[in-house]
Amino acid sequence: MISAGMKKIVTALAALTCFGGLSGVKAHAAGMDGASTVRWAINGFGTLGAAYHEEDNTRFRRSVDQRAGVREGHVEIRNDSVLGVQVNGVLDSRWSVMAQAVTRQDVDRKWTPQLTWAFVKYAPNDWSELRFGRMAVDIYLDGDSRHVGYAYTTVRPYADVYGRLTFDTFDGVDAALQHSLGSGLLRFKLFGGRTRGEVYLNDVVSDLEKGRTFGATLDWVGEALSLKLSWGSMLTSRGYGHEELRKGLMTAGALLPAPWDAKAAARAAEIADSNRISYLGFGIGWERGPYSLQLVGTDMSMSVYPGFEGWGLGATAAYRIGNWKPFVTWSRSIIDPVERQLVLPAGVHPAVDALRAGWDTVNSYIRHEQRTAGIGVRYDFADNAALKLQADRIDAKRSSSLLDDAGYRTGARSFTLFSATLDFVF
Amino acid sequence: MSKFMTLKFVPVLVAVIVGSTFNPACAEQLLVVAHPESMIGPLSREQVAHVFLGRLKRLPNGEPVTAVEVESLREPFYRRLIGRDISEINAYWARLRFSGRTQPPPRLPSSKDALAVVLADRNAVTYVEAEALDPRAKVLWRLEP
Repeated sequence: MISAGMKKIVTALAALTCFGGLSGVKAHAAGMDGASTVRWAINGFGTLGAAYHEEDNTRFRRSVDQRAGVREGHVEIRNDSVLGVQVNGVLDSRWSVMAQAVTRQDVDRKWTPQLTWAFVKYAPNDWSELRFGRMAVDIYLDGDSRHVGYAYTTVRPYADVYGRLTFDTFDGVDAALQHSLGSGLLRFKLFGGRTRGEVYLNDVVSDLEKGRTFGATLDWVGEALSLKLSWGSMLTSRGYGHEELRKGLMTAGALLPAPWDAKAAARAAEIADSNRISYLGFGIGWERGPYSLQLVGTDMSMSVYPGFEGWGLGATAAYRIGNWKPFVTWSRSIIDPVERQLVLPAGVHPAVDALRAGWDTVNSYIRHEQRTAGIGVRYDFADNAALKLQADRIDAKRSSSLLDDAGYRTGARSFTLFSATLDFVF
Repeated sequence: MSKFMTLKFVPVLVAVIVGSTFNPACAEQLLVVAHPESMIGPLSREQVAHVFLGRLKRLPNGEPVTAVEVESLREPFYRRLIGRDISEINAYWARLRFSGRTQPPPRLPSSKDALAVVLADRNAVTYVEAEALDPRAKVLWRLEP
């Protein structure tokens, strides 16, 4: 069940934890001796996770950029496991650099490390900051990353809310302004650049190398309350997926009489030209003493064929008792395809009939309605490590984040997912 | 089978929570201190929290400020300052560090080590127990037990 590649990852996790413990101490010491104005630090994070369920013909994924998922009756350790390493350099009081690489199982079921952050930061004062390079889109309430398990309470970010937002890095610039407001700090950030990432739809992976990402966030952090609004949009110069379907529609246009030829051509053009993926999100966090509450929501839409419109909502309540933090969590998402009927005559040509069926099938892939209710506990057994246990009841009327054993979206499913993770930072 | 596992899982959760442990907090007054000639004036509780949580590196009067932590006092310090457990603070720093926001303050093992840094650096601030206070240090804020 555990592949040779996975064994290497587990070994690397252990080795890097030991190395990181040493390097972290060295970095702090170097920073305090005053011998050098440049301070370098190597740090990292990781998750060793296991998940299990018993639902027939179902694979659970935490995000749609995974293909394998958690299969029925198998303890799967590849779904949530991740390792990240960061190199940070403080050049002087204004300039710093940071690079961060993450390895996790990707859509090809490989563990190829990916550069998720690599930027130069210029912060002339506390109130403004510029960063140039590769960065993550700032949409998460618990930090700008879905990979740092130690940073959040639950086993994984809400799959219902964030599971579809996979194009979350870009190469570009962000600029942030911060100002005191009441007892807290108000921060506004603009970002933009070239999209890094892909759009996933069952077995279709749409490459977005020519995409552009831009957006903004506004957040306020007070003593107990934190608020966040985020907006983002990703544009591509054209749609890259479903090229065969587009060519089929062009061919059909040539075979059919008016007005069907124009309708087929118009649908073909939509595949090529529709090019916007947008999200609008909010986050509310409240922490006082042992209590913590969180509510996040995202409105999502994609015009790239087949296109969708939908929303996700997630909430978590937790109460800390010493090193233990029991929590309950709930999330829900509904996604519907954009209404684009392919109105072509039946029985004119076998190729046109096949095209009509293919169009409806692709549209149905995206349809999704799922909710998750979970209970769990986080145990901080060390200064830099936490063990989490969680049970989620997942009910889906239809799901495009769950897969069947053939690798396609599922119909109705209702099952319990058991998860355990060991999250650490070094 | 799933219902059976759920029934087994819940008692396990309850059992581990009931068995939780608490760390005793420092019973002494804690003092936030700076270099004797520091231009940093008395601080409010919000300012102390913002400085040690990495949100402010320069005060509104323009004075740069560098936080230095004391490993052995982190737990009582944050519990009294903002009522948060040290595990929550560690998770908070993971969020900031790995999103490229900022790095956590350097941690030194004892008040004596931290005081040595503060007495040598006009921009540094730290926290110490009242009994460990060096009379040369400038007191900026007091945290009662």
